[in-house]
Amino acid sequence: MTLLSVEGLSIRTADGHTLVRDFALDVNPGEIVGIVGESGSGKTMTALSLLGLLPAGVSVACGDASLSGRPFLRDGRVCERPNATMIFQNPTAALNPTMKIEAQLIRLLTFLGKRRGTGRRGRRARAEALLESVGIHEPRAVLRRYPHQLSGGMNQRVMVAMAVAAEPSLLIADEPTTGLDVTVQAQILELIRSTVASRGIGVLFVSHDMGVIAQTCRRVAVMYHGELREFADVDDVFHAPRDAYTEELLASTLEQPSER
Amino acid sequence: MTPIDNALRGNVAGRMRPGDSFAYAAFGVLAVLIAMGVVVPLLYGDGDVAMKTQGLLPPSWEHPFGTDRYGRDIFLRSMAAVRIDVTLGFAVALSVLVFGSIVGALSATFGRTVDMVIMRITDVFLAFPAVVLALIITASLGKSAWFAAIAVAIAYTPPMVRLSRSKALEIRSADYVAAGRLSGASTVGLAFRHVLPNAVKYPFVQSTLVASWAILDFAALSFLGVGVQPPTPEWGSMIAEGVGDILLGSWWPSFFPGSMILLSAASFQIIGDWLDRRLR
Amino acid sequence: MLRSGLARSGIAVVGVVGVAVLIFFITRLLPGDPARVAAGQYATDAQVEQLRRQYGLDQPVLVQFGRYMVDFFRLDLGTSIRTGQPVTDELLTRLPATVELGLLALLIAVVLGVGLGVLAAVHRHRVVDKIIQLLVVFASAAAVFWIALLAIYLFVNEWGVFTSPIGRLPRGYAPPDPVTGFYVVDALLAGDLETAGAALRTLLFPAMLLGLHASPSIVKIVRSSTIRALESDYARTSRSFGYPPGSILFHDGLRNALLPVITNIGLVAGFVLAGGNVLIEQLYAWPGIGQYAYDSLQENDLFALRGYVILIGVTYILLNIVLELAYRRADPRVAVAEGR
Ligand SMILES: Nc1ncnc2c1ncn2[C@@H]1O[C@H](COP(=O)(O)OP(=O)(O)OP(=O)(O)O)[C@@H](O)[C@H]1O
Ligand SMILES: [Mg+2]
Repeated sequence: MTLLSVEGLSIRTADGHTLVRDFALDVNPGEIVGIVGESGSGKTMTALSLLGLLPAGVSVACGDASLSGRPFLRDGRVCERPNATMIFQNPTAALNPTMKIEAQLIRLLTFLGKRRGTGRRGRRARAEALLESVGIHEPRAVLRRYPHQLSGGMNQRVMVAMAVAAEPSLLIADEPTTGLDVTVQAQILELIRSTVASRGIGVLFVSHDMGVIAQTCRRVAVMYHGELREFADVDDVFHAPRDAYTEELLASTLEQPSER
Repeated sequence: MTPIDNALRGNVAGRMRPGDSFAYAAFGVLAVLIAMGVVVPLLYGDGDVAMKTQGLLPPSWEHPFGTDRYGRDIFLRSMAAVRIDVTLGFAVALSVLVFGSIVGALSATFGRTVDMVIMRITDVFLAFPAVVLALIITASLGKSAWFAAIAVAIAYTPPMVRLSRSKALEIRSADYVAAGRLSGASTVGLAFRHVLPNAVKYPFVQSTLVASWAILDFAALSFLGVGVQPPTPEWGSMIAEGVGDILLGSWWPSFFPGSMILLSAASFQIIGDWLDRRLR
Repeated sequence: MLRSGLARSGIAVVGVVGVAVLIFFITRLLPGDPARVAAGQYATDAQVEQLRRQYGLDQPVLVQFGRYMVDFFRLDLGTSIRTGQPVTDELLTRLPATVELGLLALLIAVVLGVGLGVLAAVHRHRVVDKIIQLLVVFASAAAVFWIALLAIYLFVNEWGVFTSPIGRLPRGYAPPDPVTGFYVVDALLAGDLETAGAALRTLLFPAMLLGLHASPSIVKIVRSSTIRALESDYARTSRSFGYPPGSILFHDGLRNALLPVITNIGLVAGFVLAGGNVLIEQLYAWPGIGQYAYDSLQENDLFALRGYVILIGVTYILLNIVLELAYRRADPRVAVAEGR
């Protein structure tokens, strides 16, 4: 059974520009599906629209989406909260600069505890365990820090920990490694892969880098100017691109393979 | 969903687009005010000579704003005051703009020492609210409309210097200035050809706000008795003349000049905010 | 920390000296003649000459400047021409009245400014926001003395909500024993609830106007910084977890939006203490330093006025040093950059 299915998704601005047109894709449980495309092609807007996070002035015009068989987007209208979480590009900005990591984790755990009816006890220990589970060796030191005191890679680990803590069935990752240096990038990718393996959740992985997509995903959706050009196995896309644009994108990636 | 919920979601349907209607209204008000300030005194005089009418007549068809305690028509005086107050707003804004931008651009262009000296001097000026600075300057020079106008202009120049300096510094680091340097352009030439025009946009917006503040502060100085001296019609001093009357129940001698200040100062501010959005 | 503290006090000293020098420059070197101003329009040359000698204005400018600076460092702001009393003493006795009024006004301005600013930010680009923005424009475009005058007319004469503004207490009340100099506090300390209430009611009226007058700049800052915070990446993260709106508004919005307010309060405080103060205190017969400045102005007492202006400038500089330290404590990012 498919985990996430999206059909006919269009995103429009208040002043009438269409940013994404008739987008569709599906994700199976335990699968990492990529969305690739050049800058400005609408990848982020697509990802944000699924969680109702579009910026002011941008909205879903039409489309349906469901997660684990439960529709959460019907004809462009959000009808319930999908059980999905998201990690973002620029993790340092994605964390509240005036709160220590500990406070942010406790805030999340308290909120989740209330929703699930579990108690407030042991939140600090759970916060530590969470950080350990994403490969942070000194969780206590990290808990005491503010986001700007940590590296981007460390903050992204914290974000992954938070996203996983909510026990989602789908994780959306919007360029989670862009701007991080190569070794850290590899570590974060490995973390996402192992999370998928151990929890069996699906991941929607957004990137503009064909190389990263090839390492991470089985299937990939190629976007260009807000349109879905191709949605197929990575291998097929690589070896026999059906679309002229995909070919171009591949060529540009292969020219400078180690850029990111 | 509650409105707060909606707003926090950041995905707001049915938003109002930042309308230009306020700005057009402000331009309209200002234009009408200026036109009346020119035409009304030409047709009906400036109400300075006490008429044969009674004092403190409430507003009526004949005297739309009523008459003051000397039987002078408040409408005619308020319109005559446009010539002083609005002109002053423009004049102060213009001189602050010109002088402030030039000093700011020079400060950003000449070396570190000049820059530091100018910045320390503006620091000291900025330790005072403008109206207090204008007050002490006018009091030292002597009570007169001219001195008050000069004082207000001086008080608003230092913030303008800082603003145009910081904009000039941003632009100075831009590539084409560096290119000019390489091709051997002189420092003064650079300041005037590249830095000044590009640095003038934000100061220009600021100057419309200065016009608004200048009208308010100038009226305050006149109200305090150091600006325009009676019987010359000016909004601030007209309000001051009406203080005794309003406490005895005649509100119109102070009310109408004050609403003229409100209208003109608000117009300049709305225009300033609008320009700020447009030029960004 | 110690190093930067020293540097900052260095800047403060330079600023304070700068204030003194600037005011000397304005009052002595501009083409005006304080003796002529003080003596009045109709004084004879001999009278002017006599005043000039009396206040040392016949000395070379440099000598005058030296004397002025020495006096300044001894906290001696000269002698009032009008009353013959030391200006420093006169200002200090009037300071509590102004500070009491200013603090309440500041409180009102902050509450009003933050409240309206947040409201406008939450309803950004909608009708509520438009209305608040229009109110802000009108509040900052109305002459404060005009509003005060209309308020007195309406609230006192027409509706009788407040008693006639004749100082810090209504008729028939004796001032409480001075401890802090704040009438409300002193009356409470003396256990005199009735006087405290009367003092508070009298204080409230001018404080409301002064607060209203000072609030527009706070509304603007709070609105834009709250919008920035609510549209930030970290607020988006919070929305992605589905946190309730109140939590987002408080933890992500307010927490980050109020930092710029701290630095700006210096400006607002200067405004409250001095900007509208001369006008308000005069209209409300409030016996503070603003009224002192007004009286000195009316009687051409340049020395007293000069003392007032210097006090304002020095207060402003010291206040800003304190606020900068507060900001450093409040914002973890700055604190870390300093290596604390
Ligand atoms: N707040 C907004 N309002 C209107 N249009 C926007 C807004 N934000 C982005 N856009 C537009 O939407 C389009 C798609 O942007 P999006 O961020 O989804 O691209 P992207 O594929 O994620 O690119 P990148 O690789 O740079 O992240 C762009 O053309 C952009 O200009
Ligand atoms: Mg993107």
